[in-house]
Amino acid sequence: MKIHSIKFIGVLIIFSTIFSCKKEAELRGTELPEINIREIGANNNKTAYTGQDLHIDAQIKASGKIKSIKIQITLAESGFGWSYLSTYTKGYEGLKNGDFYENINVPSDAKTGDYNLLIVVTDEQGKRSEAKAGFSIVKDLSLPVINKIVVNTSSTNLNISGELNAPNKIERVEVELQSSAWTREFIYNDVEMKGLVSFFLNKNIDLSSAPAGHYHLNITLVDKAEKQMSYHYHFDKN
Amino acid sequence: MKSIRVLFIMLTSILMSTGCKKDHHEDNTPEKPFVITGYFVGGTLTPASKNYTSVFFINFLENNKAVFISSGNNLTGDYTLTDDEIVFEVKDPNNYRLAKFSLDKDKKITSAYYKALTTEYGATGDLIPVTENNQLAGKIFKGEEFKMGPASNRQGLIYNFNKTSTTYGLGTDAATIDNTTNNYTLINGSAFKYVNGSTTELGFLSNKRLTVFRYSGLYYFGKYEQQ
Repeated sequence: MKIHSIKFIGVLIIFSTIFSCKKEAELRGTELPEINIREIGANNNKTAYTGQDLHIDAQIKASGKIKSIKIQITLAESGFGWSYLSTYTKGYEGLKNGDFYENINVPSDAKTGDYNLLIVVTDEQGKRSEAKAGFSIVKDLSLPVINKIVVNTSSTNLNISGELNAPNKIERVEVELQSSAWTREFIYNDVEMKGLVSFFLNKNIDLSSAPAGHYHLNITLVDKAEKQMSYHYHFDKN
Repeated sequence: MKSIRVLFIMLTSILMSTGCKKDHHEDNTPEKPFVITGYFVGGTLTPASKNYTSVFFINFLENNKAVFISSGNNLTGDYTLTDDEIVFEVKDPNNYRLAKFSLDKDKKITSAYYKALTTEYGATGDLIPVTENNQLAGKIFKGEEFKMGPASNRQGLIYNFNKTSTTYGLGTDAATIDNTTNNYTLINGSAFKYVNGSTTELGFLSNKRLTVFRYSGLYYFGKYEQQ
């Protein structure tokens, strides 16, 4: 009887200790967030243009769930120059795997030169990781641009409009529409816009056969000199 | 037999309650550690001639980078933090800057030093928490504005910050101030910068006092108490 009681209480002690610490052990067991910078600038050319958007794409894995993503841009060297600091939570908070996909406007008066990008991911348990990369800001007045882009979506249609301007003359507009299950590419080189320096683009894309989901939309204006400018959007289709 | 069982039950209770004591203690630690990136410096600069006083901010970023914000273009530099001092430096010889802030044990700035190229300025600084919310919104401040140094320009000048938008208005007649006229950029939750043509105005809120510098042909400066 005495031996049975001691065994029973011993087992009770072991189980109670294990279960009372289980939550803490789970919290301690998570790994540091992982950051994989996939693109800085169009097609990862590590170039941003003054007055245009800088495209950043990074894959993030955080077993402890993403709490925030901080983006810091500073001059590579000290001195007068543009800087950017913003913390992103909306759309990322609570995710274990996230695709950080944002466009940051580079002011038209930003100093050209070498810059550093720093991405800091913090998870819900306070663990944080950093990823760094360099890129350049340049000014190219001959680059084609699309001003006043408007993207409207419904369950069956995608409308894209904007003012095309290309000092080297318009060659074509490429539109890529991508989701995990449905990818399409559209090339517009209509006679009425080809060879012009400015044109008002207004195109509709039928989405009736596109499945519901999260879509990335890349719009690229290419000029006769094959210089190009890309714009990136994303939307959810219901 | 009974006493052994009672002893083991007591031991079990103690183990259950204290087995993870250290972790629980850490979870309940009330004091947040001091993290410099959660603060910025709002301060003033006055040349030896005392002809004017201007306002600046220093944002502390990751990896010991810092950004100096004033009425001109932003300057990027590096900072070092010790227990009792923050040192900010722009090493570019053409734009050399050095700012030092002494800290007490409560991380309050007790003295400030600033040098641009080879010129030293009288400096002040407050270490202000960075907040997500707009600390200026809906607040009204009143005080005396000075022009180019000690000359009084306007008594009873009022700054009125809109409650729902990042706009403000100013004037000496509270009834006629339109707080939707000046659209400002909020900086770190407690500071603002407004640029319109050749006019630049920037200020910060610390200890219920708004400190403002305006460049509009001449230099204007004032400290305004929260109403």
